[in-house]
Amino acid sequence: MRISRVFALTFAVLTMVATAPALAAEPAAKDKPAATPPAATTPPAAEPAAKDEPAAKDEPAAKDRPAAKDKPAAKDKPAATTPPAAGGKRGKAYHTEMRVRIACEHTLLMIGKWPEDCEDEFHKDAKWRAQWKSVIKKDLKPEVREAEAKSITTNHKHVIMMYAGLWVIMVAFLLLMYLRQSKLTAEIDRLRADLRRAVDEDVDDD
Amino acid sequence: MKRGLFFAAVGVCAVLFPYTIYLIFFKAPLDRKLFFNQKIFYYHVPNAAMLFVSVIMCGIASFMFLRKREGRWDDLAEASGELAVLFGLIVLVTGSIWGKAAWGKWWQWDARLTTSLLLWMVMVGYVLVRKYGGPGSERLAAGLAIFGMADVPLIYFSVKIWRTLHPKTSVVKSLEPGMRGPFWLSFLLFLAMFYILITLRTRAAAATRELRELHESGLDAGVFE
Repeated sequence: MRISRVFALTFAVLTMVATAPALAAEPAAKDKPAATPPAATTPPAAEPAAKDEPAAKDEPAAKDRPAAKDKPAAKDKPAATTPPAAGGKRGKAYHTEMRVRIACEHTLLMIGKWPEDCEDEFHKDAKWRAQWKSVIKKDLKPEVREAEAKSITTNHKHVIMMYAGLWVIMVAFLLLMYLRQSKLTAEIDRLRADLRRAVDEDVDDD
Repeated sequence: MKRGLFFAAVGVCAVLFPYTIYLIFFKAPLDRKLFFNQKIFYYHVPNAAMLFVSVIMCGIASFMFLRKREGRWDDLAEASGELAVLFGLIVLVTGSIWGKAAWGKWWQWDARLTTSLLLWMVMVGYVLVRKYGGPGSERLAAGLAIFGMADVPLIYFSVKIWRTLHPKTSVVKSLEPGMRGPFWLSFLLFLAMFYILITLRTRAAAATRELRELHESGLDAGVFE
């Protein structure tokens, strides 16, 4: 049996599949700007408002941050003084404003309340403010965040469940394999006995 | 050589099983976002890799069986197909528990999760066809295994093609230095375990085939009734 050869071949294929795209993608990734949180920013008033709820409940990014103690608040962010470009044109002013908003949203998600430096920005766009107000009301209450942070930092239950599940499945498989092997051995013994009996009968007949 | 490799794998398992437990639960640093829950990663990812190995092995062995019609390839395909079901089940269960701990939900119809479930179902179909398909079902099952193998790249690249909740493939490269050692040792442990299981299961499949052939020849010769 060439198990080891097939094993090695399989691994070679897997390694090629795993490394080729990563190597090809690396130079391109450097040129890309830093990723922004998903569905975070709605465009300014001049642009049609996005329908997505900001920081949807299913998104892990916002929920998984128990307490951002190690991340500094964006106190030294520039104040949002530049108005969006007129007529919805995506000029320099528009991009500056979007950057400020993204920074505001990040800080909001981290500290759980409206950042002081972003007050001006929030008052510029009523729709955007209303959306974030509802997020703060529903998801970013300090007590909810604290409870979530506590449950995440102290939770051992799921790891224990996973570990138990893993070995229960593995042991069940080994047990099934053992039972099947025992059945096979019994079948071989039975066939051998039949064969011996048949040969004995032939000898007696002769 | 093969016997030596088998016992080497047994030795690796015997040493690494307790040592990885010590490393993962007592030495590896806690993750900044998921804390203790991130420890699921050390078992989930190596099992997912073993799922891919077994499915690809099953596909290659099935292809070779269809080309050469030699029983040994069929034995290997049968063994790796069953191991794919085993590792697939482990991946789905551990992944689901990870989902509950990290996302608050047991299941999401996310591209990575859905394609993994589809692969597992294809492999369950493979085992069922082999078991209940009757004469000639091994060729039908071989086709199914090749089809299942085509799903592996789709699962791997799903996190790059679609926007998914599942962490990206770059997560292994971005591990903190203190996490890399336990992860790769855990990977080695499951690799050794896979080798042991595939060797034992292939032997059992070969014994079953020989027994069946012996029985058939006994019936033809009139020795057995």
